[in-house]
Amino acid sequence: MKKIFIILIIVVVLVAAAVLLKNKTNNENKTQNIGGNNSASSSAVSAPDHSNIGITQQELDALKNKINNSLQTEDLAVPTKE
Amino acid sequence: MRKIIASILMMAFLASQTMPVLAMKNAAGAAEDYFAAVQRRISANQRYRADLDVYNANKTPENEQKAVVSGKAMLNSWLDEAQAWLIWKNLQAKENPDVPSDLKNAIQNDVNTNLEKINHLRNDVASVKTLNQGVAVFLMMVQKYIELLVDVARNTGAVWVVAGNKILDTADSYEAKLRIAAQAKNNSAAIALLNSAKSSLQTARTNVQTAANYYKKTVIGGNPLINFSQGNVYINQARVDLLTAESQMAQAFSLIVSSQQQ
Repeated sequence: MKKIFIILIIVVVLVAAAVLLKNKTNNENKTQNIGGNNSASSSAVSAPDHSNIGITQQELDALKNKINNSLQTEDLAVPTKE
Repeated sequence: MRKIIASILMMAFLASQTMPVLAMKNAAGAAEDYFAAVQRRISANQRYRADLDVYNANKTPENEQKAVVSGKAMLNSWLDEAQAWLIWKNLQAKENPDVPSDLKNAIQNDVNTNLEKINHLRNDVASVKTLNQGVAVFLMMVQKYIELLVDVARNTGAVWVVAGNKILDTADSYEAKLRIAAQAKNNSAAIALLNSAKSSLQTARTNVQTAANYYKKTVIGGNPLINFSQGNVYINQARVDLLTAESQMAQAFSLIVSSQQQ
């Protein structure tokens, strides 16, 4: 009986670990995809670092991404008495 | 044998309960949940309206029960939507390194408090047996629903303001660096673009400040969610201004680079 319990606990722990790992991998893939797209678009228009300008094309691209990603708002609906 | 089967079932039940918690979502996943919840609420609303029309045309007990069931589903779908939004905003603030810790903690506390309130409201919905009771719970929920969202909405607005100001500081510093390089090369076309960019950045800063003022007014009493929505209008406008400025700076950058290569 004890052995069965131990086996069951091991199975549950393994399943939990597999779900966590899968979730983590999915999240990493999502991040990599986002990063990959950004780097692809950056490299397509990238220019050498002109140190006398003080900024690079990549920094301008990163700024554009940040504007697009950080300032997305959404309005909220509420139940009405209609 | 029965004990073994019971144990397996218990284990399976516990696993099914704990897995979703263990497999914590990130903000992107929570956003998907929210938009799916909005769609489900719209569908639930339509089903309830259709069942209510049937009941109003033919007031039988069966038709009333159908309307009660779909009405309860509709009320729960509103609560699901609020819950999904609160969870999303909490994760979004947590994952953003630019958000100050006091704002993160305020959002976390408000979300926990309001998730509890949502559970209480779910109990009220579960107790509904007739259409009249459903209407009473609905009217009570209309009042409480705004309370569920208002504090987190105000703090979420503050997060957008923090993000907007931080982006503006970066954009200002880029504009200044480009201007120095353009002036050194006496590149009048680039300077003209940078003048436009600077003007767009100033407009964006004014819009972020106006948004901040509306978000501060997102409090109970008055029209909190209208103020929240107005704040969003100004943040969206600031976003457009910033994108315009970024585009002008990118063009100026290209002009400076090409003048260096000549």
